Amino acid sequence: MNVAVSPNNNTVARKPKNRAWERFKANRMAFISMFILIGLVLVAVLAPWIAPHDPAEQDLLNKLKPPSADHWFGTDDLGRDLLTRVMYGARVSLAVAIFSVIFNLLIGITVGSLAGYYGGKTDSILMRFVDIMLAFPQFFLLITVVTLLRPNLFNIIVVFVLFGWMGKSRLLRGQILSLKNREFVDAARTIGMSDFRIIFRHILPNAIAPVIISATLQMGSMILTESSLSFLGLGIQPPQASWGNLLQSAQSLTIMTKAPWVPFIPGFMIFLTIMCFNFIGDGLRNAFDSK
Amino acid sequence: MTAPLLEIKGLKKHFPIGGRFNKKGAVKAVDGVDLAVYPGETLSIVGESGCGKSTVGRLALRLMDSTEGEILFEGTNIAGYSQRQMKPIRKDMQCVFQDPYASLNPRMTVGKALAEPLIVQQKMGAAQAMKRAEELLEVVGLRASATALYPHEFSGGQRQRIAIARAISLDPKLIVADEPVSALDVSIQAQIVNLLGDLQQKTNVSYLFISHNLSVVRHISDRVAVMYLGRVVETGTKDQLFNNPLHPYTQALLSSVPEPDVDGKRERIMLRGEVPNAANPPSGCPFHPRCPHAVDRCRTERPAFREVEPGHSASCHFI
Repeated sequence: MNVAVSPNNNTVARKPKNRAWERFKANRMAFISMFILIGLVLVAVLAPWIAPHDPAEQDLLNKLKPPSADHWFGTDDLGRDLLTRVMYGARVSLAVAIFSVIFNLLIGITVGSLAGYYGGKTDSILMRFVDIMLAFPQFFLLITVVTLLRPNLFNIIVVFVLFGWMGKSRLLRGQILSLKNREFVDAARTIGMSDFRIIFRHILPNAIAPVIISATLQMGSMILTESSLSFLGLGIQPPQASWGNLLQSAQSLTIMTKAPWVPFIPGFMIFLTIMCFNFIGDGLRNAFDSK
Repeated sequence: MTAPLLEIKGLKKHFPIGGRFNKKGAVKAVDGVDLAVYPGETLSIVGESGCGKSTVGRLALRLMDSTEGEILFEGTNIAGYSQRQMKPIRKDMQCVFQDPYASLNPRMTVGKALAEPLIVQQKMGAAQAMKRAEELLEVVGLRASATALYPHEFSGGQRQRIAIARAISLDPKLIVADEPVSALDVSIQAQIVNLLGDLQQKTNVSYLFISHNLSVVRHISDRVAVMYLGRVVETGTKDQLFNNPLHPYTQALLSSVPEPDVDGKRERIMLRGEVPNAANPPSGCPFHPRCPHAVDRCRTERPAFREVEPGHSASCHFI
């Protein structure tokens, strides 16, 4: 009693992942955003080699110059090349976004998996801890901790990691709660697999999509938060450049009226990057959603 | 008689109602079940929805912890075993679930799903396990090339074949089949039931077959246990039970099966009321509120489960 598998036997099996990638590609905004972001990351990584000037090189005779052949983005109030500083600022902003989100994911996935899969006391303890962390007003907590520690790149990432993982663990826990009683998980259990293998091979692949989407969107908000901190003078300290402190140093009325490109360019970069992350997040959501 | 492969003694599973601080009693999903499955036979558990038959299967597989009672697998009580202690025993007891759309991981190819038990239990290499997966697919009547496909590319019946292939991959001694055909079309049901029968002839595997479909049960079983409200009310061989049902509940259940014989006039026994709440079961015989023969004695005294003829037992005062 042989039963044919499918009418056209030579169709190549396509992974669900591949179909998701095709749907993602079909979303033009998300696809363009991805290329812009890859470009930004490349510029940030290669900044020391491709930047036209030294980021700290001052030229007080040529301060607040409009964009020209030598200074594509003009110069700031100390005559430094703005293009160079924006490139170096991208290093800081993107590093904060990428590294803090990666570590957020690691903590969030670990806590969410343990709480969701084991339930009971483990779940209660971990989720109450998450509740406590969420009960603090985030931004004021960031300001307090950053002022206690020294505000530098490493400390800012550490603080962002400490206070940013809770959403992900909640999201994943919810997903796992709905998955762990599905029959394919029971089937895995009757095979005698370890909990670790069940979580990683059977549950996480089915639960991770919304977490990845939220992580992408979070990268945008991390850049914004870092910029806000820097704007308040609590982020990356000058002369090291970040998009936030480039904005901060441009907040005097003289600069804003006489050299509007000085605040506009870093502001636009922040806007562009966050938009890219948001479009990619939306694209991922659509790609994963429709089955 | 040979020793039973799986023996369940006084098995209970109570689900508490209410929180830690305001306990409101318990749902007695399984309330003292005794069963035995012998090597190479099919024991069916039948009963209405909610009578606890699926819970018995899940308890036997140790997917759930029992409240009380013994689960003897080849003579060893596994009721208190940890998941780690269970691992070597799991290769001998596998399962096939009701819903073939939920029992396969949607993000894993069929080949990987079938290779996994071999890799986990027998420490087989990935390439060798994949070859074995192809053989298993052919055993259950699918093409070997199907290993590269994902579950959503199959129909319900084909998926159930895959689930069966996974269950037999470790050459188990017992397969717990929890309503394996009730989610399938009638035409496909027959194919799957026949496949299970063929496999039993080839490998001498035992089935604990959980179903509410009496026609299927009659076709596949050696022995049958009828459950009502968390208890077994009657057991017997298939012929004893179908030809000479003793318990009024079994009689009512059997009279509800449509028969192809038009002239065969039968009395249809209509049961009044609904299954009582398992959190608050009736006094005396749990079946008395719906039993057509109930008398005062049934309301106060719980009938003993006793053997009426060799291999045929029931719990009713009037047998």
